[in-house]
Amino acid sequence: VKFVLAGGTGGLSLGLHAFLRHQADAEVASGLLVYALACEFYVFLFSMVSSSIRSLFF
Amino acid sequence: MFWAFSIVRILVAEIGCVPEEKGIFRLHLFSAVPLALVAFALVMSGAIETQWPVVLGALSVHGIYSVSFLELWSLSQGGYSLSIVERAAEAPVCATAKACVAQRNRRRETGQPLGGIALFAANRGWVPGIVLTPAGRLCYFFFRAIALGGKSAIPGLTSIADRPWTNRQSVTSMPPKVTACLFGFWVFDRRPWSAHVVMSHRFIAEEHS
Repeated sequence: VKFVLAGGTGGLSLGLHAFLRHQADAEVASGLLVYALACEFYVFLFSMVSSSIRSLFF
Repeated sequence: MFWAFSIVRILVAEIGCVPEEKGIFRLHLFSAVPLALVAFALVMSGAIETQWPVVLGALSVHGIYSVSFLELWSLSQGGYSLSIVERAAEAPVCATAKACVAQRNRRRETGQPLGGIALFAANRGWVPGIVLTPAGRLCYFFFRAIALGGKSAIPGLTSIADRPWTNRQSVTSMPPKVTACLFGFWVFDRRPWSAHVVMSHRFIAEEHS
């Protein structure tokens, strides 16, 4: 939930900033997609770590 | 959705398209690498007027899809969904399901997956102690219809030889319907691990001790 709040706020800020600078073009969409991929990768790694056996020891 | 994903995993394994993690990883790798190479080559050669942001966006979309798919795959592997079905596959099936029993025995002898038969038996109430909930039953019918393309009313009763796309050694021999099914996974929402456990208990199967 914390990451959704932080990631969502970051994404909205990035989208707003990019839209104000470049309007709606390919660069804005590409930047948001790269940001979404980074968020997705973070969630993936976090899920894998939290559900692994290593999380029982640390 | 994890239960739905687990059902799809079982059914996909049942028809022998992507039975193992190695196969599913190859499926994503063999699509992502050519996409990147072709896009890079086209832009560098100037063959098309594609901008770098478009290439980057396309690769990002593929990356989001692949990572989401692998995440759901991994979580369904570690969740209760598959373990319940595995237990159902090992459980004795009631004598009323003669065809199901015969098919199960035949498949067990040949080492073929039993998940589809287990789901079918659980849906009919033939597996002692395990029964699908209405939501689980709905998921089962929906995704089985997609995965099998309506070829078999009872999973496993159609001969493997009747499915020319069945080839466990290749990930490129997937039928179009299963491909469409797999590419539809990316729209599924993601939930944290704790929610997955709750969802499993709520939607998957009710265990009667």
